[in-house]
Amino acid sequence: MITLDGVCKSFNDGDTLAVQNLDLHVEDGELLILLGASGCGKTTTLKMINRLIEPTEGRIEIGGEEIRSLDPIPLRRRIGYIFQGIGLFPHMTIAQNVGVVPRLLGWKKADIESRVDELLELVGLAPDDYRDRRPRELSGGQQQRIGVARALAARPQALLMDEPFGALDPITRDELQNDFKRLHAEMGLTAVMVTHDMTEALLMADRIAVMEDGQLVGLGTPHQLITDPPHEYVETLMNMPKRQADEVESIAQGS
Amino acid sequence: MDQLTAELERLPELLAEHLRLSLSALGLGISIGIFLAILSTRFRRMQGPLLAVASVFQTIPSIALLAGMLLLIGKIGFIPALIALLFYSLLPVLRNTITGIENVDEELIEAGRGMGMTPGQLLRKVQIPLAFPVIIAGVRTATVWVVGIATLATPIGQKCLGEFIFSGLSTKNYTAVGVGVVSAAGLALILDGLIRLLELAASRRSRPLLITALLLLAAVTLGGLSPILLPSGERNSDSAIVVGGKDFTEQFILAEFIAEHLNESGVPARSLSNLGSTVAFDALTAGQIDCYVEYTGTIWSNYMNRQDTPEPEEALKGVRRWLKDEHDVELVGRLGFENAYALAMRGGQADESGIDTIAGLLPHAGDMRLGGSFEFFGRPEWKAIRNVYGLEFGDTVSMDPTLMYEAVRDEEVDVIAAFSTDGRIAAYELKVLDDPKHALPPYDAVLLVRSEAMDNAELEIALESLVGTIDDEAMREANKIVDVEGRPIPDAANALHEQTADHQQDG
Repeated sequence: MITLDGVCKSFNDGDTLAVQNLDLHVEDGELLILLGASGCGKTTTLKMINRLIEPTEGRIEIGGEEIRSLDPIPLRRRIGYIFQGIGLFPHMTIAQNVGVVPRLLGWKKADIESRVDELLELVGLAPDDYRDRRPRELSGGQQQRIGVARALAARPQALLMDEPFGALDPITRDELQNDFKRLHAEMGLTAVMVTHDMTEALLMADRIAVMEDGQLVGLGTPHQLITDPPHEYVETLMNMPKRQADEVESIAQGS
Repeated sequence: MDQLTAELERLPELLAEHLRLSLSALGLGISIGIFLAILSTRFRRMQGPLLAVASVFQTIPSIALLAGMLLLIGKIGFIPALIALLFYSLLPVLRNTITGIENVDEELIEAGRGMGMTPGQLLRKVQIPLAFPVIIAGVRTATVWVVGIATLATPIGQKCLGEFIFSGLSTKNYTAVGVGVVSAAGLALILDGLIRLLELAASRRSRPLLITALLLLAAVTLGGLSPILLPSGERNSDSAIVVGGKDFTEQFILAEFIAEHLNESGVPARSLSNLGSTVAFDALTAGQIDCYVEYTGTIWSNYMNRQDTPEPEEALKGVRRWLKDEHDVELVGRLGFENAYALAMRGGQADESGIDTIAGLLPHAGDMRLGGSFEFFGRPEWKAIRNVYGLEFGDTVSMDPTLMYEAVRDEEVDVIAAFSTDGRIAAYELKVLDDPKHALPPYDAVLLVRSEAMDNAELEIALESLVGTIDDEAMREANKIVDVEGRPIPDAANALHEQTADHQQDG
């Protein structure tokens, strides 16, 4: 579905290498998580897929098409984009926010309205209650549900998510993670998600791509990475949630 | 009350002209400002220079900017006023639009781009709607500024509400000043309120409110402009002779009087007074007025830049030749009076100290205060008095020319640089000091007319019939009617009219 082939990105005329020679393939319907510390190049990688950032070298394909041969504007309209800032437009109602991309694509008004209601149902917010509200009247969790609905509105080919749950409190985050996982499974979405949260990655991903200093240092299912870490850095990362789980366990045991 | 009625009669036309000027300047200024601001958000390098230039224009005192436009464009009236006001409206609109757009949350920009908005769509759907309240605040500031500053267009020959204020101040007609101030402020508040209503309608997305606001705005615009939009028999045709006048009482009276005289002689004419000191001459040479009354000394030292002090006959000859050769302007002749700078003091004090002449001041000047107009202390005459007589006053005070006569009467100053025809010299029993050494140049009032206009034989005859008909006494009386008795300009013009009619019968 999405293929990265020898992708490099450098800033400041080559002084800073953000991404080095990256090869990745995302299968249809797969949720691939890019995991790594801040500054490892994971967000740059994500933004190269919808051409918010242009790669310095290499090829990126979506559905078999090289993206540099495509106009970035229609490309972005067929890829859903969710990020930590959420970025709901405060001057628009919830319905208008969800309907942005369908409107850009020139859908009929009636089609947009029914699609908006469908999506509000899907993310668990009653359309009649929320349709005409403004973003500021919603909690952070509700706002990110709208962010998800908005990204899905125009039935995108793929979904890009940049730390979508990073700004939420732990309980809301857990709720949204589970809901999103269900949604992903039901709809067979192809998605690439960026996070630095190991637990989130292990619990949500079909496969995880671990990045360090702009390079791919490990790729596999959560099970593969935990049981057979291909790289020292990956092992350190994977041990952390395991160790924390053990500690929690021992606290519960009361020893 | 009569005075108020008289002033209110002038209101519709001046209000209409004021509205036309303000709305044109605002319309252009706001469009250009928003356009440049949006352009500069695309080409960020423009922003610094753009704001710097707009700020510089803002720091130029408004009256200087208006006068500067006059010099640049070489015409009086609507166009230079429009351009100057346009610059004034630019900065608030430009700055607020740029600030508003630049301050839109970076995350919302990223969201818009990530969803596939083009830069244009991002601007229309996200940046401008979110910056809208800030942009409107700038538009409202511009509106209030422009409506207020438009009153300063009077000295450059554009009709506006400033006419009440300028002529009112120089003739001490505070009713007129009040009418001007209240109507200009009222207009600013009404326009500001309507824009506020538009903003409210937009932010609440209320169609009825929007329609109400637009209807009100249209009503104010059309209603305000109707006196100049509707064809009216009274409106003067373009072929009418325009009699110019500068910005003090004597000139108001003369312009009114000459225009009336021409109309009676079968030459359609109207007056255009309140022109800044040197504006009148420029307007004459540019063909925007056809004739006006000037003083030989002003032409000699200000326009010809001569430093010497000629005899009256010599001055008249020199001035006449220079006007004809350099500017194709005809000097019709002397009206018969002189309005010179003259040193004047309280008659009582002069008698006590035995002072008759400027030279007589010499022993006392060190203890005396001299009052004069702002202009006087910058003029060659002041330098001449000091050089020729070796005078040094204890103190000098600049003040508005209309106030100095009261100031000397009330002993706030001891000597003033008066205008010799001012009616208050006699009324306040002031003594005009002789100038035996002829330090002050002659200031014979002369009638100037564009040579081209003189092709009209009727005009030529009508103007020539005025030569030598107004003596010092007649002019002083006419000035007194306005400045001392507080009666309107037309009364004074009528008095001159009767006086010259007698004169012409005698002659």
